[in-house]
This record gives sequence, structure tokens and C-alpha cells, in this order.
Amino acid sequence: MSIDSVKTLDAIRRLALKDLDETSDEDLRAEIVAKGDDPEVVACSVAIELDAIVAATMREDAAAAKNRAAAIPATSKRRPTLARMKELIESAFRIDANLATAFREGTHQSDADLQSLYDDLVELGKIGPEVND
Amino acid sequence: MSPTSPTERHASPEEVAVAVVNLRPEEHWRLKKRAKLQIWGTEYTDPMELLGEAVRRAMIATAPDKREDERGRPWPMDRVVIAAFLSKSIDGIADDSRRSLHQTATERLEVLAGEDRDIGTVLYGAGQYHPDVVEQAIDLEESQARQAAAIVDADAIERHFAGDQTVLAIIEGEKEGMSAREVQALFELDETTYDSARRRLRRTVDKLMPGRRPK
Repeated sequence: MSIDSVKTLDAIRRLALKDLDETSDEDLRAEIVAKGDDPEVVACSVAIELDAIVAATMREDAAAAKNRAAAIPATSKRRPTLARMKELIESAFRIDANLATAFREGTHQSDADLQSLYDDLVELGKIGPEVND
Repeated sequence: MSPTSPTERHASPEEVAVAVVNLRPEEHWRLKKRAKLQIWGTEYTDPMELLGEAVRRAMIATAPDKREDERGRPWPMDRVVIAAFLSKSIDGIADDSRRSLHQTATERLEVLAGEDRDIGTVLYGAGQYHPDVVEQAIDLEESQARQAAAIVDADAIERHFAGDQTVLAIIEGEKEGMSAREVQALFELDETTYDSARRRLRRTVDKLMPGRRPK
């Protein structure tokens, strides 16, 4: 591509853009009509295409947010040791007696019960999440 | 546009979406016409593709889940109206694309050809059919094809105006970086004659330029 071709292209584009900027809305409408098009239909077709682009971008954004949200529980499932979980649960029960009434069932709890209880209390915000490094 | 303030607020994806949906019909015409003028020599094949990219970049600019490789263009909504912002964005994206295509073509030619060889030697020489080289050559060819198509368009416009000395004069003046006043003085044109020649040029560009190119 020769330098002169580039300069010609750039010059034509700059001139046309300057003229477009200085053309009134009425003149633009008249040009569309002169070409045999309906200005409202032209505007409507642009609006429809833009709506589709906006919707597609929103969908991409929502999908990315969903992926991010899905990653959060996996992180919160990282727990401290069982002994530390027991301490934290007992502490939460001491602070809030209603919690003990609501959650304690029976006297013996398996490790899985304890982990599940711990997760529930973390989710409720009664225990700050801790991880076992 | 004035310089960006450090506390400037940029529109959220939802705010961009609402503003785009509320564009007036006149703004739709104008933005599409601008995109049509700007796709010359770029990677874009359709004015709506370029306008859509401007909208998309405004939306992703402040999205919390934006990918690292995505390039957003934040809309300073308190300072610039959406139509003006999208116009500038169209210009910027098109300029970047043209610059990138030119730069890519130049760099790839240099890499492919090496110090002493030409591109043909590289591609067709013995044992040089490495996939990367072939892929780069295809990209280069596409980039050159787009630019060649732009030259054909420009030639068609110049041929169209072969008998219109005023339009050719203002193109020459613009190529030399002259102001409208300087062109008017040099070619002894009054303001109205200059303006109407420029209007004829734009309308012809609009008519001769395809709105959509084959990819």
C-alpha cells in the first residue's frame, strides 16, 4: 500500500467525517429519504441490532458473575481442624443460646455432622470462616 | 473531551445499556454513518460490527468479571453524552485497528522475510511450511486484502470525481494537511463552494462504499 494511497484514504475519510459532524439531523433525514429509505425503519434496524449486542453482553456478564459465585462456596468449604471446629461451634453456642436449641440434636455427632454444622454456622455468619493451613 | 479527573465516575454496564436503548433515531443514523466511514481499512466488515464493538467496550469497561484480555472503554457519563462518546469510541477503535493491521503486516513481513530474504523465499523455500509461518502468512494476506480493497474504494471515488476539480482540490489540500481556509485561498474557492464539494464527497462515499463487506 503506497504512502499516497494511505494519505488519500485518510484525507477522504477526514473530510467526510467533518462534513457528517456539520450535517444537521434534518439534512441527514432528507438524505435517507432521497436514497429511497424510510428514516424510521433505518433507525429501528440500528436499534434492534444494538439491543441484541447489549443483551448478548449482559448475558456474557451474567455468565461470568455466575461462574464467580459458583467458585465462592468451594472456597468457604475449606475448614479448620475438627478440634478447632468444635471450639468455634461451642463458642458460638455459648454466645447465642438460641443457636444451641436450634441446632443441637442428640448428644453424639459424627465428624460429618460437625462439618455440616460448622458450614451452616459460617453461612449464617455466626462463625468467621477459618481454614486449616 | 477534557482530561480525565481522578474521581470521575464511569458508567456501569447497566447504565450503558439504558443509555444505548434510549438513543434517538437521529443518533442511530449518525452513528451508523460514522461507523460506515470508519470501517475503511480496518478488520471490521460491517458498520454495525464496529458500532457494536464501541457499545460492548463501554459495557465491559466497568464489569466486575471483565477478562484480562478484554479492552474496555469506560464512558464518563457525567461529562460526555452517550452519542458523542460512542462516536469517539468508533474513531478510536477504527484507528487502533488500522494501526494494528499496518504494524502487524510490517512486523510479520520483517520476521518472515528475515534480513536478506523476501516473503516468497520464506514460504516456498525448502522446509519452510511451518504451521505458524503459514498461519501468519494467511493473516498477512487477509490484512493486505482488506487494505487493497480500501485502495480500490478510494480509487473508485477519485475516478468518480475525475471531472470535479473542486472535490479533487479539497482532497489534495486535506492530504497536505491544509486547513479549510488555506484550501479555499489556494484554489480560490468561497466557503459555500468548499462546503458543497465536501458534502458531494461524503454523499458519494456513502453511495459507493458498501455497507457490508464479505469476510
